[in-house]
Amino acid sequence: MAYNKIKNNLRQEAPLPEGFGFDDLQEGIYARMPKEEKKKRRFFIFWWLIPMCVLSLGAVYIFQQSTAITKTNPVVLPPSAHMDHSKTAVATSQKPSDDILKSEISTSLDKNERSDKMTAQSKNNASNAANNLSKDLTLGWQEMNRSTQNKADLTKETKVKHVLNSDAEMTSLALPSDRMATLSDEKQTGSQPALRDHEPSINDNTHQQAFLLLDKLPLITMQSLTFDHSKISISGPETIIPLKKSAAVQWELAGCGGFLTWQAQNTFPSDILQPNHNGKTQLATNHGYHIFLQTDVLWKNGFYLSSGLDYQKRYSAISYEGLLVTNTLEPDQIIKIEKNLLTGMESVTRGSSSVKTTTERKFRKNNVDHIISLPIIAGYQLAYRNWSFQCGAGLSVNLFSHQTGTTIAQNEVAEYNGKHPLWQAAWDLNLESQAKVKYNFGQNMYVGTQFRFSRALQNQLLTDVTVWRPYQITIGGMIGYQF
Amino acid sequence: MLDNHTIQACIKGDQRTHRKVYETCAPYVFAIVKNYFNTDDDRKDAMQEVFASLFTSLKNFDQTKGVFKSWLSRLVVYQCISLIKKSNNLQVTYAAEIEDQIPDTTLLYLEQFSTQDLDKMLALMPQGYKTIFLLSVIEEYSHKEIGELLGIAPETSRSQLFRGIKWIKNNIFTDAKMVQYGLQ
Repeated sequence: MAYNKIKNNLRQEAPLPEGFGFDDLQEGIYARMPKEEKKKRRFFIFWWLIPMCVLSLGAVYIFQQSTAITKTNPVVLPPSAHMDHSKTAVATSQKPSDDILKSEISTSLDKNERSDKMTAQSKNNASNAANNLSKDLTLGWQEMNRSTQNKADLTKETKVKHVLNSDAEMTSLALPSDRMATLSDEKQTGSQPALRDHEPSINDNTHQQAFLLLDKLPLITMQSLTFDHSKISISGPETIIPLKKSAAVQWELAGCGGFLTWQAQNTFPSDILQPNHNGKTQLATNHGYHIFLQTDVLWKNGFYLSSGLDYQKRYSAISYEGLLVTNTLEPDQIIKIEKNLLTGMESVTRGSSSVKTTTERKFRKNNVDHIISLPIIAGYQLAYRNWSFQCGAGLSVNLFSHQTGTTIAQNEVAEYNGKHPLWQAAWDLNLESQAKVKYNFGQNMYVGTQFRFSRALQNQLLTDVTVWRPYQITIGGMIGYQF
Repeated sequence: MLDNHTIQACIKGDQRTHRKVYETCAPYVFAIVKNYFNTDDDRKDAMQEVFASLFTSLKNFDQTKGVFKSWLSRLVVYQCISLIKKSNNLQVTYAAEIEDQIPDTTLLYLEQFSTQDLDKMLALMPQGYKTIFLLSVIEEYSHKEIGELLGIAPETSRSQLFRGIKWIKNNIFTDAKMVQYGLQ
């Protein structure tokens, strides 16, 4: 106090000299600041998940679409459909192609067996294909006798398929109805002049080329080829293999449980650099477990909505190492000695003075937090046989309850029980993304695994620290029931 | 000096706010730093250390406990002392004997000095004397606090201060200077 003038003179602010601007020094300043590379890496690790999910979903959707197109083309021939082998044009004239036809048919039948659904569109396709078949085959039949060049035209849009009835072990050619009628008439009359007239005019080479071309065409299996002595007709597919789950809406209830890991940057100041407090804190071992009771509603088109109640127990550990300097007032201390220059006498002023005590502290404490999460997630489900894959995104509300722990509050170590001294938010809103793989067994049961990633939508402001949007990952198993 | 909004933005790491904070605080910080260091290179190092520490530990500033300027002042001093200790420039002679009296008149005379003369005096002063002189006279730290900060005994601090003031008296208070300030 006595030397305020010296102090004021030495603390007198003046314009900064050249070379002391922010532009000149900022590089050195930021170089001395703690790096945030770890944070960036974490962002990289977790944010690619969403685009990856979208891409995977898109790829699987495209795959499913292409599979659906393949499935809609075939028209299934039931084993009951019989055609007199001897009365078919090709069967009698083209014995060498039987093996090829059989192999195609077996493939076709195999495909049909694997088909788990056929849409109404496929019915139309089949009918159209049958009509085209009639027209094109008629053309092809006539052209085949003339030149192989014209048969190339046949291949452009024709959809032809030879069908072998597995029961009767016969090969047939799907013929146009008018041609069938002709054949039928011929059968009735007991002769096949028209057909037999054609046969000699088709040499083997021509036939083979024609069938090679036919082999390259898309496969069409006739659902039904009915022979009637009076009328031969080609009908469309009689049966459509139904979806496994024909209900428009399906409910599921599942219990999940597993491991979780979470991270919240800046929950604690990592360094306390103050003259009276120099310490380092570190938050570590962020893990826990969760139990999730969830219910899903699935629509026939594959979309689903998921919700439930998720209880999470988070563990963390705070380690602290530092020095605490406490100021205490000590009475009866010499605070000033004055000397009278004229008399040479000294006067001593006594009073209370501040005394600093330095305490070294080092500890590690475990914290426990409870969270109840209420998510609502919308997504899409893809199914393949007994397996299904779900991917979705949504929001969740997290309710916090802090049990016990230690933190740094107001630049001091603070123990808490029940109420966190800094974390004032009782709840927060999170962005959720979810991926599930399920395997169905029995009639209605399924087991699976579930992955969830959630991140707070905004930073959380504590009394003196900003928490940088905490995020959490949960991985666990589940068992469920389909209603 | 800084409003709450600026402090919060600085905590979040906004670089424009860093610039604003620097431009606001730099003259004050430099006024302290220049007393401890003589060369521009050392002063730049100190400025960078101080602002890096400021941007990092601003979240620890508690407005209810004091004004920002005094908090900043202590931070600057702390960083300056850390740098001096790091560079081993602090040569403190341990007191063999406790001086029994402090020449208060020297400090009274110093009050008459201009800023420029004080700067020149500090530039000439040995680092050990200067540091303890600044901590004791300007920052008003007790010898116990100085001892803790520098890692020396309080008695050593007291002795160093006495010797520093004696050094000023012997080296600065030349006849010409005393005449100039009307002290003789």
